[in-house]
Amino acid sequence: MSAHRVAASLPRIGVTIGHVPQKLKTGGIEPSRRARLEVLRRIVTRTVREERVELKWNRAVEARPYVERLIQLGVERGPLDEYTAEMMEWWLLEKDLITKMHEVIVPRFQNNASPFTSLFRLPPQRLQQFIQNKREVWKRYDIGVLEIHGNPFPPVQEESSEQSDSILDILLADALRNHQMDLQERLNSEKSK
Amino acid sequence: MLRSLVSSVTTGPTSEWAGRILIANSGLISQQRGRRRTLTPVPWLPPVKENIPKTGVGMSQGTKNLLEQVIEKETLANSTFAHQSSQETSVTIGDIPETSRRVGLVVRKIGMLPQWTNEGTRILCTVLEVNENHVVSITSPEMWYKSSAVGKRKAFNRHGPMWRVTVGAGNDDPTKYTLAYRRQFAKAGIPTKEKLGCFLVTEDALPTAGQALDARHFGVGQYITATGKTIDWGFQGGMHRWGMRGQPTRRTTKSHRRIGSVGSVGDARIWPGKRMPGHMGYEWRTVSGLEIVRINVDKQVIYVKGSVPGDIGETLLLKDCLQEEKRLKSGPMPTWAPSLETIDEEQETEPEEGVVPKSLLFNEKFSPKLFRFTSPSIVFTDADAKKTAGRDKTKAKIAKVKK
Amino acid sequence: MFRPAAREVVRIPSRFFSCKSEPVRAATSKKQATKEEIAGLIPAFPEIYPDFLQSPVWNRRNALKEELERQDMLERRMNIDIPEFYVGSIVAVTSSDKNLGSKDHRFVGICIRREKEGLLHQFTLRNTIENIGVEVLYDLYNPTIKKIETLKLEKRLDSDLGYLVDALPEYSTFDFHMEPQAHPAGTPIPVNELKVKLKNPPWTRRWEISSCRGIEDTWTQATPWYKRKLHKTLVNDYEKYDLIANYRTSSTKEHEIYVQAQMQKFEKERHAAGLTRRRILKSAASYK
Repeated sequence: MSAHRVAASLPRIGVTIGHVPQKLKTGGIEPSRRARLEVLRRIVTRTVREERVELKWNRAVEARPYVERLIQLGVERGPLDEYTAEMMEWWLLEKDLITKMHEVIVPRFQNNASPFTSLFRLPPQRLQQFIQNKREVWKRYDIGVLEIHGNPFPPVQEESSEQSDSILDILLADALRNHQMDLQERLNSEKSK
Repeated sequence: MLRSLVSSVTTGPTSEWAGRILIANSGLISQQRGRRRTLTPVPWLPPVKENIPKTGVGMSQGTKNLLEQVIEKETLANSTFAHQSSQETSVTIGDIPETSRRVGLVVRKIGMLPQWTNEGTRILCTVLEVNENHVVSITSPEMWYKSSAVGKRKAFNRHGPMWRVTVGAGNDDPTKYTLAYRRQFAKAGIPTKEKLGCFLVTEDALPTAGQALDARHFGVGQYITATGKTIDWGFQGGMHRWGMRGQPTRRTTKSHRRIGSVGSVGDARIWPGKRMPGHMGYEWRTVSGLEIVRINVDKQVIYVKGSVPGDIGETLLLKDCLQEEKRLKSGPMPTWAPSLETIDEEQETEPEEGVVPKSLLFNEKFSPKLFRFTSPSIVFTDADAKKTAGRDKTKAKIAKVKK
Repeated sequence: MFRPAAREVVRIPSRFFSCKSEPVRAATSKKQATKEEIAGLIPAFPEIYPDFLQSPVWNRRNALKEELERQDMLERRMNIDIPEFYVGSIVAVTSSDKNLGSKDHRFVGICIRREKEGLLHQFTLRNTIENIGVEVLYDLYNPTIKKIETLKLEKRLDSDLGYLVDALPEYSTFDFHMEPQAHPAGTPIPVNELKVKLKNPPWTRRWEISSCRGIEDTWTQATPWYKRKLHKTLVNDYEKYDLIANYRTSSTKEHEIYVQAQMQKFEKERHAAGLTRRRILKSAASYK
């Protein structure tokens, strides 16, 4: 809450964020706050490049707000803003992606409110790690799919269809209607008293 | 989480004992569940939360919408009936005998903020929200004694027979809960409640089941007792949990915050009760003698001087303070009801010129010593200065001789 | 990655999916109106009114509590004129004290800190009196404060001037009988780019590794002991890239707009009731 802010406030992002930053570990980097940003930076770059990525669930959850915020900066401030330019420069490791961000992704959301991304959970997968003395070592992974809206791929989740033709549904609706009428009558009788 | 809260709250006002169950039949008093805190729900009570996935039940969108409408209407109907029943009950403002125990409120701590007195002293207040409180059920001491192990201890205690009054707070979506949990609210004719709390009440102060409880159950200037779970710190070391000193910063390796020695050489064991690292907080604690300095009637908010146990957002039980000098001598019995409102209105005087009209302000009750933000800044006169009856320093200090 | 091979997207039963927010595919919802469209809003609201922001601790953000305390704060602002001031401005505070002969106490100093939200908001004034540095911490909403005046409206390079403790005393010496300097309406708030010189070490804090812009060359003054320890200290200049760390503690545009609308409504009601003509929501940098 400093009196001298870097830039004007931005709207909320339509994504839940945890109140504690999670530790993210990866091979080759000693885990630290700096390393966490490095892991996230790679994920953000990959997401902007591929527009739909499969990740470990915890990483996808952690990376989603960063993608969201970066797109929001582009939408709210535009490419000419100094702060936005600095953030794009740092977060997108491959420089052609800055052009893609400003010319392809940001125009998609000009008239949209957040969220600009979706996160889906895939069924957990067991993958073989290695074989040690004829013993197979398997590991379970929770997998999430992070995607930027408006991508060219087919939808991850099929549209839910109306199932109103089932007999149970019809009976339930009828019972509910009767109950609603009863309640209305009770309320009316109380009011007239 | 919620289930554990509900099950432990229902064990009554002396809730330090929550989670301890006594075996009544055998002469042994043995502790069955956790010593300081119980983080798992009690196994013998029916579950509270229903785990039905919202999607894929085979309901069409139209039926879903209809269900939502019906639930909304049912909540509305229940609220109106409960409100009307509480209007019909007879309540009086009068003397409260020393032997009687009134019902309490289930509140939520929503924050802390400073207030100032007319003397300019700062008071840090806790803000407590009374969210839709209704009486859920009333159990007679005989019934309570028969049905529960807790009742064996509490129904006929040294203060005489006690009725158990369960109070619910906060309306919630009934589809989230099991039928067994919802049934108790249907019986009282009130909407499904999120939180429950129990109070020990004497016969002369019994409310009726389904009655709505108001923040004005307590008065400004009254002292209250707050009971709740303390802040959950999780697993903490000896320095934080017990205030141990730790070990020196310099010339020490990897032992700066360790607890040090844990016992003697003689008997090679650790004495029970040795202070050690472990789970800190989330225990039932009671703080008594807190003064109510301000009540916002419109928003049903109580400002209490001082701090209460627990984090912001936690549920607390508020009761009358039982300390002799802070006991409530007269007040609404058994509880505040809308029929008492007319008495308050008549006492108010006509508004003066230059004073903010009542329509722009919340309906609030202030302690007379509290500064009101609608009034101008405090200006002191010579009369306010501290009278120091100081000794005449030019003369020597001589002891007074008793005659 | 851990996946052995790319796999085509297969149809998976929907019960495995969980999505926190419903996916929005097309232009369904309209973007919020820009600040030009909403009349009378102050762009620099968080700087002028840091007391109206939300707590940086998310647990402590509660709409009802904020509403109640905002009501108290606005009532107080109707009774006392709280001017616009920043960290670095020179402020005079007159407060009543019952144990003083004159019953009034006036203190002039540079504002070195503004902290906390809501009714808890505090600011610290610093001055040097008889060669002794004095800092006075005031509660902004304390009813014993009779008058707050901004003698010189300006900003400094930092949002916390804690380093004035270790600076030479002339940087925090201000005349008690200083004439107030009027700020021309509609001009931006001037930033005083003064760089202070520190006293010789020892200092209260390690200013040579702090990111304060308002201190002149701390490195030459730092002692060799601390210079040797530089490699051990955490230099975290990458923290500014953590977009979400910033978002966790800062205020949102929605909140600012909502609070300003509430303040305007409050003003309008009080003016209509004929109680006062005092305006609460105002900015020295804007023409209105």
